[in-house]
Amino acid sequence: MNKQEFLKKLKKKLSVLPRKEREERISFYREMIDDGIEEGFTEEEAVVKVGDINDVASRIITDFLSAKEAEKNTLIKRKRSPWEIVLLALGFPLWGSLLIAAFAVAVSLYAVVCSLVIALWAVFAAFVVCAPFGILMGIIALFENGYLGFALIGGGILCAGVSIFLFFASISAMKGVLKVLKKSMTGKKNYLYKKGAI
Amino acid sequence: MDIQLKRGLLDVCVLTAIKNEDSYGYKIIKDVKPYVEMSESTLYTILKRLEMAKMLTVRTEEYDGRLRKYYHITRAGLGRIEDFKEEWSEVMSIYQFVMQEERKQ
Repeated sequence: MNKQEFLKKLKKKLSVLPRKEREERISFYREMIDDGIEEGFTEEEAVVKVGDINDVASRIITDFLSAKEAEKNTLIKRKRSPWEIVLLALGFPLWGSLLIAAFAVAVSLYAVVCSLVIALWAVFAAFVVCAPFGILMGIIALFENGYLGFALIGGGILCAGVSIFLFFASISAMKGVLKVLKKSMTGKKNYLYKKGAI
Repeated sequence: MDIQLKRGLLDVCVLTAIKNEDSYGYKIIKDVKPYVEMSESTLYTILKRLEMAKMLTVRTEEYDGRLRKYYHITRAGLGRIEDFKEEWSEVMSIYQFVMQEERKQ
């Protein structure tokens, strides 16, 4: 078999490969055979030296396929196919509303927990306001009705006492809630990191 | 031989063949032949891989009325050979240990 014949047959056998890849392979073998001839081999000998054409072709194809496979494996970050994007867009009314609902539930949970703390602070504020007023009104009432005046003063002092307790209770409740909120936020973030969303 | 190991060794072989002067396919195969048998398609794959890894560059030159591809080693390619020399001295010392223990039996 001469060089032209060999290359023509090889081209036919490599028809499954992309054109650019095939051309490159064939010019590589052409160069090899030409260099063999230059070294002093006859054309036939130089072709034989390159190897059996079927072996050559099958080896090229397996090489090409394994290189392709390796390339695919190194591409860890897979691109979304156009079909996936279309499906995602079409499905938006479904997954979009589900997402919004989930978000709303999460927000309302936070709101409920936060409002508990706010309520605690409001009760504290009420007691704080009541304490001086009670004492003041009690002193004024003393001039008209001794029992009522003492009761009011006692109530005011009681309010002051309770408000001190409430102050510490609300502080620790706020701290506790903030801690939980922080944890849940970072937990969500970590989850998203793991999913590769952020 | 382990396929990964063999691939690495062949890479270094080809890089060494073009280390001192630019070379071309036929000459590379001839130069490494005394040490390792390398088919044309194997060489092609190695050259492609090394080119992708920027360990060599390719230029096409006219020679005797036809085209020939010349391969030129890069700094990264030279670094690969140096890495190999370092790694291999470690392998050799392990080999010596293995043989030494073998003799004790």
